[in-house]
Amino acid sequence: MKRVFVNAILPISTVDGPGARSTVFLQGCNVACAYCHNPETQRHCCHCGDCVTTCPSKALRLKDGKVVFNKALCIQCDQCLRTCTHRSTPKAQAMTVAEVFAEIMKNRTFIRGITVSGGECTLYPDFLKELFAQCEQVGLTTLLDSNGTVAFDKYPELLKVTTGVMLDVKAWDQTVWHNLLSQTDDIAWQKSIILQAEQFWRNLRSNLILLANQNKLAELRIVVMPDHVDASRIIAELAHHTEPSLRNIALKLIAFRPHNVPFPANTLPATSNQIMNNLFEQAKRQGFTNICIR
Amino acid sequence: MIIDKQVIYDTATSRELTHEQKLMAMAKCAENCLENFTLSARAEELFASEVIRDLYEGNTPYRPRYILPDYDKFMKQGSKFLKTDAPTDLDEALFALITLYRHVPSVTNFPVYLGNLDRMLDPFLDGHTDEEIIKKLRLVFTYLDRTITDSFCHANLGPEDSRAARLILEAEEPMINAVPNFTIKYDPQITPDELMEKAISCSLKCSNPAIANHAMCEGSFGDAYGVASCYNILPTCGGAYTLTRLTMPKLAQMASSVENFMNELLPEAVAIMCDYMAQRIKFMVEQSGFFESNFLVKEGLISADRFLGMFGLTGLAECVNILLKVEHDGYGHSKEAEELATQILERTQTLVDTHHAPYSPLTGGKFLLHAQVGLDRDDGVTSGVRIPVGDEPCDFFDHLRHSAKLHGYFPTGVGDIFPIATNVSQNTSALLDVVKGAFGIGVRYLSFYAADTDLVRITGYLVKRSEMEKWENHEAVLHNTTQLGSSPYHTAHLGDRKVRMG
Repeated sequence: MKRVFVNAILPISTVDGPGARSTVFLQGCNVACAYCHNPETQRHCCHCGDCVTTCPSKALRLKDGKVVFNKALCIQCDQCLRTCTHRSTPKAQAMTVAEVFAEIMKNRTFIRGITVSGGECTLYPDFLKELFAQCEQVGLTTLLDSNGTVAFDKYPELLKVTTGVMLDVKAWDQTVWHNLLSQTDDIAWQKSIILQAEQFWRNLRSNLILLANQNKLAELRIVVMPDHVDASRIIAELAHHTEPSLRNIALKLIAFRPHNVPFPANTLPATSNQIMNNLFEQAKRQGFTNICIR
Repeated sequence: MIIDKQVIYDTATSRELTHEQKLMAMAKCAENCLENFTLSARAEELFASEVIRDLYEGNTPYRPRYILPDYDKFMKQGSKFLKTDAPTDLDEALFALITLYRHVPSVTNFPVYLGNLDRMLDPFLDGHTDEEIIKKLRLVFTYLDRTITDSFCHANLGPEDSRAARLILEAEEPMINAVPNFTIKYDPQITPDELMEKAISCSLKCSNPAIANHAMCEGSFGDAYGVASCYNILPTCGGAYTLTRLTMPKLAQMASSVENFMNELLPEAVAIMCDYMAQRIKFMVEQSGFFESNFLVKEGLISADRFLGMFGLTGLAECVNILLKVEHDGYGHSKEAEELATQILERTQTLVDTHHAPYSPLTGGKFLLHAQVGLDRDDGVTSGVRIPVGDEPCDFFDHLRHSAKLHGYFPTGVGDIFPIATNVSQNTSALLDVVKGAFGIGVRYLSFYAADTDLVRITGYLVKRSEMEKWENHEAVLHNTTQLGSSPYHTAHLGDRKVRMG
């Protein structure tokens, strides 16, 4: 049975879609955004062992060259995340679909659906397809968060069991896109991202059309970070999109906040209310009917 | 008992009590200087050590503890005694109600139940705009907050949707008043999601309404039930004669073993308490004259047949932990603690059922259990069957599952209070999903407030943090319940309740 690394399962989340949902965060991402507020989900653990020495409750140890995590001893202080210099976590657990589904089903009575996020969960389309199929059978709606860089047209079976996609539109201009997505001091990885960036950009464009056509666009999201994201351009381009129109899709404008973000973003101020309000007004003027600011 | 003249003098000359508070305190002194009950030596011991508390009902019960008039009947017939005709329009309806409220006594001397407001007022709304109605409602709600100076006062809404229910919520929301409490009776089969989301949104702004599991509450007295005082579920056109309570941890402290607790101490305490309550009830029915002379009875707005005695208990958490000899990770966490908690409640229920409750035909002559939410001096006693603050399970759903296992034992009232992360106001359907799930597995009653609100629910009643601060600085405060709430707020660390859905 195939396992993927699960960073966390939150029994209840109120910010990952309508109603009460359980949210599954998968480990691993294909980009490294400047404003990423959970950079510890980006990479898989390389077992360097640095975090073992700084764990105050001895929940981590090295065994046969691998970092082993003992959940029972963990006091959730997150020191391991602060120690890690590889944008990872020693706490991610390799789980099968059945194991994730069992965790979700413990709280079936309280939730209306699940959301899978990450990292970038579309890196695991088969896992998602199987998990969503099981969820749909018990009446749970299925949402996924995505940066849109993986082409959904390759995974029609996944889309069949997906209620909706909450799609990040991170940038419109290609240069802005390349710079935003490749913010890491791991040079090899940075090079890899830059090599794929253009393809990622094209995939996002085609995903917008595909998902809108299939009525699977639950939400469009823009993180507003002045000088790093061309938010105004994104809104204008989305507003003028006519095949199909995207203006009735929920548009979420998210203010950048320097909390838990990598250097140098953590030295920058949060996006001002004025900028957020201006973008809100622009979106409204340009025809969006369902806009919110977070 | 010899009357304590010093207490009376201090009360009369206090700089911190209002006139009304002085008056009520002195009446209580007078009532308490009579001796109307017979207690065995062992009973005296259990009262003195506070294993059993009479909750300040007084030594001379001259009115029932909780009265729930049949307001629907009043709206149809008016009152001869009050020279009030049945109302024919909205103004008359509002004035008739506030006139009647003035004459509904209780243990607090104020009405503890104001009726199903939406059902009573909805027929009178035609011909008025929303703005007119909201203005009138706000005037009345303000009047109630400033003249019923005790937040053990409860109005009900639902379960049906109505224009009145929606306007009451809209009127209430910005007022952020401690009085009255509101509960919306919720049944997913009857109450539309839209109304409930409005109710939840309202509660995240003004800590009202709380939510009652209508299907579960209806099971006790049929549709004719009301939520009164803090969260007491009682028959309308009736109420409760008395509520006495067992302080479980104090009893547990006397136990040499779990067997000793279950087979010797508990049966003895239950017997003493039931006998005491029976004496109180007999005095009220046979000697006080209330049921012969009070106009509410004469006009059929309450009936002696519809009163009952409430057997209260509190501090189950500490009781279980004491018996298991643990301090943390016991009650609310371990399987062992859960099993013991259930066994204690089963045993208590069985024992209470063996004692006869006089003048209680509605319950087949039995006392009904109630999860009593605490007194001002309770220290190391968590309200009812709640999990102590600071020891709550990390997982909100585990907390609710725990409650669901125990709420079924308390037909006359039990409930949990949760501060909710402020951003949930942007996704109220999420909290509604949780309520549906919780009610589906047997949770009886929930109330929520926003984590950063000034108006907090203490153990069931509402108090403003800013008012408590004034009282703690020795200033006079309008509501009695501010004085009452200040102590438990601090000793039980209620400001540190675990915030949920964050």
